[in-house]
Amino acid sequence: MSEKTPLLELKKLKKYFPVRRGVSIKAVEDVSFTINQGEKFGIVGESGCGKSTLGRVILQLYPQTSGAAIYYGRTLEEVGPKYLSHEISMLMEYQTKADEFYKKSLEIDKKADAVRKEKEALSALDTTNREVLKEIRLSKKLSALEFKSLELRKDASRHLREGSRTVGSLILCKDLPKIKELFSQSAAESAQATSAMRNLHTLEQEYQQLCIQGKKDPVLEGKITSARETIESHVALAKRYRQQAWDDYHGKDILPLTELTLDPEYQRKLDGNYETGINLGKLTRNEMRMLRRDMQMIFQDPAASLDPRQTVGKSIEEVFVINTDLSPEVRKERVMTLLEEVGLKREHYYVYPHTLSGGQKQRVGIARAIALNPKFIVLDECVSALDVSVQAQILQLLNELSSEKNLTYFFITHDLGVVKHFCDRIVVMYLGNVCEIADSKDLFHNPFHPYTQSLLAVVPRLRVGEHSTELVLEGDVPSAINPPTGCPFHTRCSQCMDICAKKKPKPREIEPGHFVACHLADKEA
Amino acid sequence: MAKTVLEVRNLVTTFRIDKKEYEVIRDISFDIHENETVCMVGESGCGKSVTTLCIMDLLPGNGRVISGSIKLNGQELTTLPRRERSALRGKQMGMIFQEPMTALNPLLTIGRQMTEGLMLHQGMTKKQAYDTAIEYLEKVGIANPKDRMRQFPFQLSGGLRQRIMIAMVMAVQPSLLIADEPTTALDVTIQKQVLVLMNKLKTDVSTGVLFITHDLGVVAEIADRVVILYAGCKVEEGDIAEIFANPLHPYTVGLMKAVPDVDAEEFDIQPIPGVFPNITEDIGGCRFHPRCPYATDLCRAQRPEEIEFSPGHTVSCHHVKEALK
Repeated sequence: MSEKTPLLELKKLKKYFPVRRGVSIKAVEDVSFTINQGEKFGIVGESGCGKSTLGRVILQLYPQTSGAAIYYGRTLEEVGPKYLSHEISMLMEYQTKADEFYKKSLEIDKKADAVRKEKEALSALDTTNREVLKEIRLSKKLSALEFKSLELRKDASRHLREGSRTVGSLILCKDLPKIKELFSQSAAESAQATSAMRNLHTLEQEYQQLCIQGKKDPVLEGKITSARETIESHVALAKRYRQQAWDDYHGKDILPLTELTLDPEYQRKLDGNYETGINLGKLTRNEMRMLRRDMQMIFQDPAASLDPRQTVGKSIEEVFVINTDLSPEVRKERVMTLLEEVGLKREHYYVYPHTLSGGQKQRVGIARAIALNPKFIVLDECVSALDVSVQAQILQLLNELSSEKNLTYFFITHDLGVVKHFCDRIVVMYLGNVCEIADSKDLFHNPFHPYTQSLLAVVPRLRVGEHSTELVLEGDVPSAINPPTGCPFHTRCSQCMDICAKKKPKPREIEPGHFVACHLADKEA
Repeated sequence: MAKTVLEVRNLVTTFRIDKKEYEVIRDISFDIHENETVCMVGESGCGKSVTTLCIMDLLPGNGRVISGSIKLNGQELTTLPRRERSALRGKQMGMIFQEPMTALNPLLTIGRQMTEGLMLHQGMTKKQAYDTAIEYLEKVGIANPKDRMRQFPFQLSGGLRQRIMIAMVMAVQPSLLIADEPTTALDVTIQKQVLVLMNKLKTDVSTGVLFITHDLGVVAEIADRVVILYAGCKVEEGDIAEIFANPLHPYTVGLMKAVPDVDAEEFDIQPIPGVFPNITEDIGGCRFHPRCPYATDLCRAQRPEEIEFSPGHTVSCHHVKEALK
């Protein structure tokens, strides 16, 4: 990887499945990492560690409980999501609400001060004269007030944070109405760009159709070029408005909304929240549907993911029926080219899935996933059900496709051998939490997390007589309904310390690009 | 040499599909000795599971053993009446399946299922059977065996269920244990636990184990000897160390190259080209020739016979024969 442009960024993504009132399965817990463009990103862990759930949450097949998945494969201008204009209209409210909350909290602070003084005066008295009961009442009142003030401050900063997603630290500026104006102008331009984009899409399909029939239409070509130009100009304008807001107001006339706002560190933090990508969780159904063209999925069981009553050709063609306006002949031609691309024959268009072998069925699954030229594919254990020789064929095919089409893979697997040689970067998950993220070579050379180490130790090796009976993990994975406190792995960890049961370790970068969430890493540092 | 537990000679099995007979097992022979684990390796459809079904006499209605002999502790099985054979099942031969959930009865407690076999085959009283069951549950490393005896299969995790299956089979102390992909459905960490356990129990009970798997890593860990099958034929057999150090048949070599090695620095994915044949396909000569990089006219015309490359290491390939001359 020479250049690293992010394609997807996960920010504290959480997914809980409610079981019954107050009880939920904590499948994915605060997962944050970035997937770069063209990367083969592997994710390993035992069953129930949340790897499949994570893949599905990314594709928004499950709604996330909290956190965000930000997609950078398309710009905001291209998609023009509806949530953006809503957020822009909310900006003023965020600011005034934050202000209000903060002022309230200050008032409460004053009250608390009064109570504190009273209490101090009381405790200065001689013990015999002290009215113990009153003192207890006062300290209770004091702590209640302090708690309330803290909550209000939290509310204030939550509103600011919410606003900063759209405009960064500009949310703190005095001139927010003007900034809002500029951003809504930018959004209006984006909306125009988006509708022009849809127009272009239909035109291009017509063009494709003509190309396949071997005809040419100069008028149509002209239309396409002009549509492209319109889009470009709208996008450029949208960008310019935003840039202007940024240039004119960034860091200027900042309101003292809370005690933090004047702190440059805090401002930088808010700037860090600024989303330049698309927040997938906030898209409407239709918008997400449009984006699904970019993001596809290949499943583990190829037989179950194909309709047994539809021929292979029809199964793949459905993708085009739903997503494009291509004519039947063109669709068929496209499907046949796809079949050839994934190493099948054109004749396979007419056969039913049951006549195919497992590897061939998986190839059909792949053809269907790449049909709309996606950018990102989630591969959920897609080679686990295959025999080794077929598995190698499919991996080879996936490798070729990724370099040909610059695809980004999110490769879910439990096979460490496959992940080592297929993926560029790997994340190890345990019970919904990220244990370790590293380049694949690095992870295998220098595994840091005790869980990664024990996983590597139990992989069946291809060497005879080199199998240890040591380092076998005892017991099963704990339940995700009631995960252990502190570090989720501490119940099975051989190097468990006192702190592990109490505090959850935060990811720490022990080497460039190598993140570990373990207290041992904190101790070393 | 240890006692031979199982002796399979020239086994041929056919399946009837659409009123035609197709050979699924073509002339397979191998032995299993006491305290020995023999791994049978091959891709799905190569006949490894069918071989176990032949031994257990559990072939589906359209399957038939045409010729060959299967001897368990010197007793010929193929000519034995059904009822007598069925009496051997569970007593002298135990079987562990891939998916423990489907192998256990969901309606009965673990205790009921554990004691049933013991009372039936060993003629134990309920009390004796209960104690033995507890003893074996402890042996397979299950904590609180008394509580587990009262539980139902759905209350247990996959790893626990598989351990219970193992305990159940081993408690009867069979002389032959057949394990059909017992760890495929399990996570690597649980798989390791189960493999360590099986190795331990094998010597405790002194059983011969026929272990079916497609994972060469597992083979390297558990096997004493390996039998490699391809499309119903045995292509190679040998000592585990010998096979891994010196694979002879092109198919074995291809298999080894196709597995991504966790320890290797660099790995070039080298799949075996082509598609695994369907049983209805008629392939003359060596069954592997359409996918073999070294195939010659001889391979297409004539079926290679088994030759002994070194003591205990046999292979069926024309090229090895040529090289030996």
